[in-house]
Amino acid sequence: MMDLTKTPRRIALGLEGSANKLGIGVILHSGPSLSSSSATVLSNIRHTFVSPPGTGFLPKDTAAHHRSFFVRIAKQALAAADVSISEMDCICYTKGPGMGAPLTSVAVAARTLALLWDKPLVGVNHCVGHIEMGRAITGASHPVVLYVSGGNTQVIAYAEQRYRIFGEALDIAVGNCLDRFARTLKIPNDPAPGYNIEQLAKQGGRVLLDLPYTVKGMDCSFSGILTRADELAAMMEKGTGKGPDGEPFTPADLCFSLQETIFAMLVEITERAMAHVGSNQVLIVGGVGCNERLQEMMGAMAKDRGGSVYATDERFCIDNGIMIAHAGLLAYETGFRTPIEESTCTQRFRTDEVLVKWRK
Amino acid sequence: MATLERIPLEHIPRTHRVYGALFKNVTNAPFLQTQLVSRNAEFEYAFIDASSVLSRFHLLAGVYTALNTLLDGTLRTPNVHSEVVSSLNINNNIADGYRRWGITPVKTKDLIVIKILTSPEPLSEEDEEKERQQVWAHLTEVIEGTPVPLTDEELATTTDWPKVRKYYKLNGVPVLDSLKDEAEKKKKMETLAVMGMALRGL
Amino acid sequence: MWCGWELPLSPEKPPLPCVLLAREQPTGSTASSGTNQISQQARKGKKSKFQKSSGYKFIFWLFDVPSIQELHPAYTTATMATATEPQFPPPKVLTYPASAPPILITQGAEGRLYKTTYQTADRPCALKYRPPKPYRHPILDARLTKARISSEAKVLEKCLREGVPVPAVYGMDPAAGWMAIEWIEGVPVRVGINKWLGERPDEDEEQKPVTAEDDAPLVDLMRRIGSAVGALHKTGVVHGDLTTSNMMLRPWKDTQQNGHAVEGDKAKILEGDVIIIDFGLATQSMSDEDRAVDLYVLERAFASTHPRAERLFEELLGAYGKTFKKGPTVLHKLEDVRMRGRKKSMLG
Repeated sequence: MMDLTKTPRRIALGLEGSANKLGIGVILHSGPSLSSSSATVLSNIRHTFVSPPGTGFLPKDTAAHHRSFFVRIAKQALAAADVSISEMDCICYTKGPGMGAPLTSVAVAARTLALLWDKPLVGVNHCVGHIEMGRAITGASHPVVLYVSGGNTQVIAYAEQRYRIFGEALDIAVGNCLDRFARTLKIPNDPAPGYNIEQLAKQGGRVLLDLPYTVKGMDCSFSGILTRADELAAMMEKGTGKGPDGEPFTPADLCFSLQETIFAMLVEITERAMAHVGSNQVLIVGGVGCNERLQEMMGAMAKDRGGSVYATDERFCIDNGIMIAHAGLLAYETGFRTPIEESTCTQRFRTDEVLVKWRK
Repeated sequence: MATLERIPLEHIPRTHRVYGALFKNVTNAPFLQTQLVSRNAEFEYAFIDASSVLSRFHLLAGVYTALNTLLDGTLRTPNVHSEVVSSLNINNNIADGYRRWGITPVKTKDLIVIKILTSPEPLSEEDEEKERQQVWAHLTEVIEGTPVPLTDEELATTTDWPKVRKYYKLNGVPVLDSLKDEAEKKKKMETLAVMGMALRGL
Repeated sequence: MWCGWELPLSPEKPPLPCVLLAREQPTGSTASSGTNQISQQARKGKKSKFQKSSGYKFIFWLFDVPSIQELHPAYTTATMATATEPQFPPPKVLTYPASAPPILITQGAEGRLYKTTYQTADRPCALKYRPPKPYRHPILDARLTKARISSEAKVLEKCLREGVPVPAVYGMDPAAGWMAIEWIEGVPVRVGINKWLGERPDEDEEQKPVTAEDDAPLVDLMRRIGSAVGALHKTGVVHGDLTTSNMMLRPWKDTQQNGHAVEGDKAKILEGDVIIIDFGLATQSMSDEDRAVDLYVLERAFASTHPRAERLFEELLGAYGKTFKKGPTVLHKLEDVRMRGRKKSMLG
């Protein structure tokens, strides 16, 4: 445990690259103790690897992207933060979960910097990064967290020094479902496929197509609905797709129906977890959390229970380096270090494996 | 002296009133049926073949369902009385429902009559009694049979169990086969029949 | 003798649903002893308060209302702003006159459960109601509600026909979101077991764990539960939420209401038929994996609710394994499920 009274200012560099976003940020924690510290974002730079419409990003290409942009983005982040290397306390990087090659390329860079600058390393769980950043930005005290991104879909609640997973997607993540469907419809990936689906969905609403709704207890699954959505898209291409009113349906109708159904599933499993733990606050983190329709639906459910929903904007809900810096620094302050020999990364890293020592 | 019974039901508005009677050894079933089929306005009754009915609970389950669909505005048959008959069925085949539970000219010997009356406002006790007597007067006039109380004891004597078992798919049901006590078995069959009705069409 | 009532406790607070235990109060000295008995029992119940009303014929108390916070926002102790007016609109079917107003028993994320009557005043029933969810698209909401009620009813019918101990369905309206089912008398198994173990929240926690020898009736109950779950799985149904709160102990015809036994009648506390209830999350499945997960959920629930009796769970599993041919296979699968901790490891 660090003696925080002796080091009232702690600064960390955070390096994130578990998917197609390379994010580097610098954070400052100031204050004499864990319970009375404030966090300040000194810099938060991100560069996204966007693949052409109709394709997804492959690990090999993504890793190459991260390698080629790393030095540039790191320098930008440091310059924007206006801190010197000597002021930095530690270097935090995403240990996992995520895609193998991209994770490794960022980990290699992290190790290099650590050795170069003689700084300790802190390996961070990507999901915990999202959660801690969400808590810091929104100030939510005891929320149930819905973490939804291209790679993860989990409903989490904090209990006894762990972020416990109450419900999750049993097959593919909800963001993955959206990204793949964007590919089916050949929707552009710039700035993000999910964002473009959201905009297209706003033009729908005339009909609600019948898509399979799969919630099993506290968990849900998305591969069935994706399959069906793909089938309907194929019918639409051929000209045989007719909605419940007998009229042909459009890509906007498909996007609208897909969103309404999958978001209802997410809200339902979140509500179940809330009832289970007795909470009425929800915090949405992860890239899919930027979706305004999801926020709206979650808000309606929370309000019905007399509670509220918290969400962050795209700076923080989309993968970024600052969340890694923040969560990493919190761990560092409790004395956590990742020795170089152990600074590996792993594709599977469950949220509840992390011992959250910085909370009671 | 058996007479027309006013049957109060839970969760039904006071503007809707249910009356029931049981007639045994009815001899003019063909006549009654023709009146029904020709939509004679004086014969708006639910005529139910008592041999297809197990008990009051069973019978009233059909009545309650029919009343609910009336209140919801989702009748599937021309009126609430025909709806009572078809509610005793476990599938949505209306013709089957009439044939199996309604009055049939040749076969029906014991007849249950249900009459449902509504009014814009609930009636006073005297008016209800007047209404009941009017209906009873008509029934005794047109039905040639012996009125008996509409009780479980009487209904037990009129039930054709093999037929009921067939209609409600109660043959070869594991839970029934394992019950030795006849009374328990019949109670269970009543439960399964009512449940089958509740799940109609599923 | 039970009735349902909504007690207005004070002008500002909305009325609190409760169960009214009517006990004819004879005049004279026996009156006070009756009151004391009820007071004792009320204190035994975990979250019950009681109020005596002198001069009236009846004594009443709030009985085993599991979580008042759950039932009524105005009574929550969680961080909540002033509650909006109670959002308890009952289903239309309950707005017509009946011999007694319906009682709200529980309100969960899924829906509400009321106690009321079916058809006649002497036939109690449980009414499950799934209210519309405002956050969902209305067409989706209607579709889901209808599908879920129908699915639950079908599962119950399948079980009942096979002889699995479950409540019967009296009537339903899937489109309106309600289903009326047989009211099961008795107490939840959870309550029976806790009374048997004599657990009191404020007293000494350091009590020795239960062994098979000194608690034969409890062992017997565990076996009965195991057999009931086995029968359920054999039928091709998986419950989805097995806990000791989702099982009732229905008294055998010749015993008193169990769970309220006086000293000396301790064995009667655990007597009764085990009836499995609440099939809102049930699915039809023959897979060993699903069945093993079902058992695992019960195991975890049992361990957290009755930690002192955790070791007796093996008795339950033993009886389960003997109930049907695939029983032992499922028990093997259970070991795998335990390793995994129910969840699969997710790819990042």
